Amino acid sequence: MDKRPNILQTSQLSVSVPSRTLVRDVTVGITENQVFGLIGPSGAGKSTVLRALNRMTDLVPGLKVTGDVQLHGRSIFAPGTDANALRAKVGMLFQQPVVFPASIVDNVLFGARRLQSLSKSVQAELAESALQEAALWSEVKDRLKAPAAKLSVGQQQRLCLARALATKPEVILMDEPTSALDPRSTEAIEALIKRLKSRHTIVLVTHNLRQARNVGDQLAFIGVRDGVGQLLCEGTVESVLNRTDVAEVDEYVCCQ
Amino acid sequence: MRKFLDAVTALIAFACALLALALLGGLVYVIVQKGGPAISWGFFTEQIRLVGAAGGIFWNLIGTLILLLTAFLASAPIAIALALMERVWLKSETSRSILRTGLYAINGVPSIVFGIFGFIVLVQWCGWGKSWLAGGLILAMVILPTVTVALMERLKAIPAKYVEAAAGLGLSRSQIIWAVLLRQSWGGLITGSLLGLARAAGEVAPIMFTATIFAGAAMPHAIKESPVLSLPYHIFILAQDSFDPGVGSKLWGSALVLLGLVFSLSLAALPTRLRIHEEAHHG
Repeated sequence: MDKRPNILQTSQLSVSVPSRTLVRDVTVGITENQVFGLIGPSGAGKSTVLRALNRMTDLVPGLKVTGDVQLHGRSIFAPGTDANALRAKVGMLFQQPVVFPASIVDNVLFGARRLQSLSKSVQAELAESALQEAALWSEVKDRLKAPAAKLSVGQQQRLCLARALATKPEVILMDEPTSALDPRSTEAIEALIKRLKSRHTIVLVTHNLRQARNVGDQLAFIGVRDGVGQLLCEGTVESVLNRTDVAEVDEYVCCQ
Repeated sequence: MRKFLDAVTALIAFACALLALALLGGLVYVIVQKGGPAISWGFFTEQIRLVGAAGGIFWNLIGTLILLLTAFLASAPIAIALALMERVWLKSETSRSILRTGLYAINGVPSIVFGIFGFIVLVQWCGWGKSWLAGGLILAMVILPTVTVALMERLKAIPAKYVEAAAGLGLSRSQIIWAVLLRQSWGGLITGSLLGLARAAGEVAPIMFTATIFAGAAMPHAIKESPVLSLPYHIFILAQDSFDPGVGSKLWGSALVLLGLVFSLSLAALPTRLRIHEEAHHG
């Protein structure tokens, strides 16, 4: 077992809406500088668990989160916790790239510039380093002022990653970040994920077993049992995917 | 039979559209034909003389612009506050619909009632007398529903993904309001204001007791007892006294200028309105 400390730890994390429980009792530890994959069938609550990790669940009226999530051993639900500061530390990449109707450079700095006051030169450096880190710099360095919407979808997704990186997050939550992308852009993002884990911890929701095998270090399988999403098994990628004794995993792996 | 019905329906719709266009065209034609001869450079730059029978409408135009600008400046912040309240702070559908119903109710208040209200509250109770500010504020109330509803629609059209993405970066609610909601909806504010002002520009009732007189006013320098001249009131007074053919041509000329002003305000709103539609389809 890895001796590095868990940067994120959930204990009995459950999320419910007034009418039903979406996902129940998820307890996982996520080690630093790893890619932690969340896999499972659609609707099992993978994205919901992911969004609880940086309290994006707060934004949805009626959603109730119980149990706990600890970042560096401290509960993110503790009174006095600044949810906005938390989200800057635990950044997020969505399924569809969301670029703001602004220029490329304005998009990169969208969060960073508002979270702290930065001089013009620092802003330029930050934009460059974030775009470098997201492997987009060489493609856009001559047109930083161009509208971000002009980029291809794959480039837009890397721009969103650069925008998250610019706020210097420790953890990046990725919610099926390649499901809207073509194979080449997917490859680019996967290569990036592998590189990013040297400096960041990544929690990746994916429905793609090939991707899980390719980039994942640890996996958690969230499946539906008794009508409620729950953690059915976790461990290294191969150990989880070989759990043919868990019917849901077996079925899921077979069908892909 | 069905084809026949289709054809009849299309024909009726087409005829109605043609009728509407013909009415507009006829109106514009009559006003241009009668008012055109009065239009000259001097008509815009000279002040009124001989009780409207001679001279121009310089101060009337300026007065109307002052009233419109005041109405815009006074209504915009309130409209922003109300629209944000609906989008961000009001959680229950009931409270939202109360707010919206209130706005529609204000929109339905006859403009003469606004005029009387302004007269009682601002002119008499506050002791301002006839004042450009009183008129501007009353016109702001007249256009407030239009501006607010336009802004609400625009805010509603902002996809939730933008708010989510901004929150995911760690922005606070007020930062999201500035960086996402207002940044992407100011077009709605401008469009709504222009459409509201296009309507307000021609209103006589809200300003006749509160802000405007027929002659003898120029640039206001204070709030109290500082009336302005205005185009619609000018037309209103001349129309009651238009047996003199000289007055008649000035009357039609003023109407033409007012029509031009209203059309320009509506036209100025067009580009942002078109852009909003485009974004709604491709966004």
